[in-house]
Amino acid sequence: MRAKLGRALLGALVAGLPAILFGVATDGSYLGQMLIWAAAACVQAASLRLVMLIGEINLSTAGFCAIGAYGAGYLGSTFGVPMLASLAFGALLAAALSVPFGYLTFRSKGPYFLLIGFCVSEVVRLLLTRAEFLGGNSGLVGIVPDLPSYAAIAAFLAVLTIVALYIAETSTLGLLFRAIRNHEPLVQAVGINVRRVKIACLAIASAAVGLSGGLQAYANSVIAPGDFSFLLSVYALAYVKFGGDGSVIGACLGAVLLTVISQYMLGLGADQTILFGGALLVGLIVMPRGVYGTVLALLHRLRRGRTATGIAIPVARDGT
Amino acid sequence: MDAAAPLLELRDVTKRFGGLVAVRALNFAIHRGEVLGLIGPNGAGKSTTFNLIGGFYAPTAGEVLFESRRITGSEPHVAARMGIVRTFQHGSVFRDLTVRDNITVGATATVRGHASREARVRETARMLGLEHRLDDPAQALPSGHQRLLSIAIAMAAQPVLLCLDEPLAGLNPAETQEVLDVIARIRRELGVTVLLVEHNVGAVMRICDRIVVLNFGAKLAEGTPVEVRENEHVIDAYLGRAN
Amino acid sequence: MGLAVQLLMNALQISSVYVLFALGVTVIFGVMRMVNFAHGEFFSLAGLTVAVLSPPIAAATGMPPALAYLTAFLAAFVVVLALALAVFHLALERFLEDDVAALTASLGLSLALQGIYVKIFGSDFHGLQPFIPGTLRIAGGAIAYQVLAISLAAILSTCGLLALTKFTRLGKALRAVSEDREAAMLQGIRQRRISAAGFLLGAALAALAGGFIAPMTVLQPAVGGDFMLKAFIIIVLGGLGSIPGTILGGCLVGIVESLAGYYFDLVTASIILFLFVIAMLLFRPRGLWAHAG
Repeated sequence: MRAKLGRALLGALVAGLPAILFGVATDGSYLGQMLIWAAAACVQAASLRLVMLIGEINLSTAGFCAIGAYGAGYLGSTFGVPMLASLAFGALLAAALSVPFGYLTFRSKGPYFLLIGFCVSEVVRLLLTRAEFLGGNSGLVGIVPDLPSYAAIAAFLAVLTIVALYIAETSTLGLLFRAIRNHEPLVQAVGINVRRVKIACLAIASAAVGLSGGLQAYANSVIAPGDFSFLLSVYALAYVKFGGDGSVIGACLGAVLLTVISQYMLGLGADQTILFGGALLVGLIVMPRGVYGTVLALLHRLRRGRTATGIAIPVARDGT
Repeated sequence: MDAAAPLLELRDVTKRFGGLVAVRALNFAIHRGEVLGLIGPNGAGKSTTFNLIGGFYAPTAGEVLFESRRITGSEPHVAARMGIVRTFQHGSVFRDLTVRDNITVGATATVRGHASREARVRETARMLGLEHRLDDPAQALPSGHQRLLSIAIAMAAQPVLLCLDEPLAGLNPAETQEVLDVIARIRRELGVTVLLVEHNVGAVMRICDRIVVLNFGAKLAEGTPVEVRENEHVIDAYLGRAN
Repeated sequence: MGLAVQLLMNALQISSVYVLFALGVTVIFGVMRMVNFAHGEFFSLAGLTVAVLSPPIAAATGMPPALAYLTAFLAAFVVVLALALAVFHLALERFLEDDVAALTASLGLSLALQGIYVKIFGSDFHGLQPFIPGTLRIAGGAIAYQVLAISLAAILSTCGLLALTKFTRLGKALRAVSEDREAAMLQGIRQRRISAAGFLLGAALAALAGGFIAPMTVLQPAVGGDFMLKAFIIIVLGGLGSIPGTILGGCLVGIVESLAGYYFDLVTASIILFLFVIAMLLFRPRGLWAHAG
């Protein structure tokens, strides 16, 4: 356990420190903005992946992202609550609301749970358009960071969140997640309240994605319901499948690659939907292990000189 | 608690699925420390009974008592924490996890603390002969060892009543004997009561103290292996046909 | 009275195409156990192709507009079927056993195709000039003859589908797989073949719906997504995989929309419908009209 924590912190340092320094250097510029978007995307991808550990595709991601964004934005812009407190509130609000949602909806699985998540994201978006005190269709404005070097702060918070997700994944709780995916009744049969474990998974994932929403709110200073349609969930799925669902590194890699490509090289609109749709298809059909997983497998093969035993152990791919 | 009272009792348990009656007014008891076999032709209601005992189904009528307390309708994880732990047919292991992680899951609900849990895992692995394979992926084990692993997972949860669902299915004679030895050892050394659903009637006769025979959802016969083997209803309905 | 008749006529117009469109989703769900999110893109491709091709065909060949429309319709039909075939073989065939993967593939496809259509057709609206003039006025309500004719054509197509499922071998096979996949396989129905047939039939229904809607409204690439959301609500209310349920669900949603447009606002109606759908998915995935349990 201590070894895993050490490894997590090391990984966080290696990836996070450059990101934070980059944030300090580019704060206020377009590159700084892009860093924040990439950071938020990484958190969304890691969050979606956490729920995939229990074997579900959680399209309610967009809905809870919206809740976190609006929670933080409302507190920050309307009541002038300090940014860090608002961000924390957004994350906790998303987590809190995810508990009754999970309690109700975890009686269903697979395609049904997926479709319910999709509906919930749409319901949240529609409700937000009717909520005049939150700006309705035109959205909430005036969400401004009250600390310097926001890009660096956002990167730091994102790294912290992803490390927390990694710790959750490699803890005993994470072990239960994977066991549930393999054989849920057996987990019940040895005395574990599976529904509670699933709800815990969703709550952690929703807190993370709620924070990402808050980060985006402070980055863009304006948020509108249209920013949080179910497409956001599908984009998160594209990050994970394209980057590689075998590890949190793969998910983040997918998020960074797709964010950079879409922001740097393409215009908005049509090009972006083609990119994300295509990336999702590539991740499903051509590269089931994702970019990261494929690269690792190649390196493994080169190092060994022959193919590995071929037994797939999802978490082991990142070296654990 | 009355020491002479049965460990588990089914009183007039009925289970209906829509129009189909899977189990009808079933009455039997399991006594502490015994190995009880549950046999019967396909469709007799064995799986349903198993699910009812483990809390995976709730009875339509009747009562289930454990240690003289009514547990009718308890959820599976609650029944497990009380001491009723079951395995499943067709692979009762976590394929993508290592042997160590498999047994750890079994221990999680009932053993608190990282160190004690690790100790329990090593202990259980040793009892089942898996201590040299702790870091292997469960998928890589041959089927006989996977069966032992499924028992290890259940044992890690410290059962009072261990319910094994067709533990001998698909095993060769050597593997079958290994599992039977393990069951015997579990009962002898740990005092765990065992309920067994099996199609391998010969093995059931060898290892069980008593046998309950089901047919069409009702109890056909009950008694020691010798009594059951000589019961003409059983011969008519089941054993005779198997010959 | 006149208002009621008008609302009914509006409902007829809306429902006729919704039902045809939603039936395509239902047929595909029945054979492949997946909600094909790219269905809307088959539909919009047909509609956009018809809208974009009809005028040049009429101009180039001197055909009357109605005939040009039918020719473009045929061309659109072929294009959509070709796309559906390609999609099935390249993307979906490998996910016949994995419902969730097939569903997510269709999501990716939907996104990619929407973007591609914007590249091809632009994001402007495309419409067709009416080619059957005149309006029928009856009992206080009014409906354009063209709209009436197309609605009837859509209804006839639906009847055609019902006849197909009831009387042809393909139809019976589709129903068998939809009701009990394993039993159907044991009876010798080959999964890959029937899935391909069902998928193409579903796409054909989408193409028909798209061709029918082209003269009734203005289209842009995003219309597929809008229709897909409606269809999704319809098929859950009617019972995933149930053809009669889809027809009833489509009529219900058509009526609700007709009323909503007039009496209350669409957003609230959508929220209520989605919440209803969530409840259905949780407690009655087999639909409002299935027997409980």
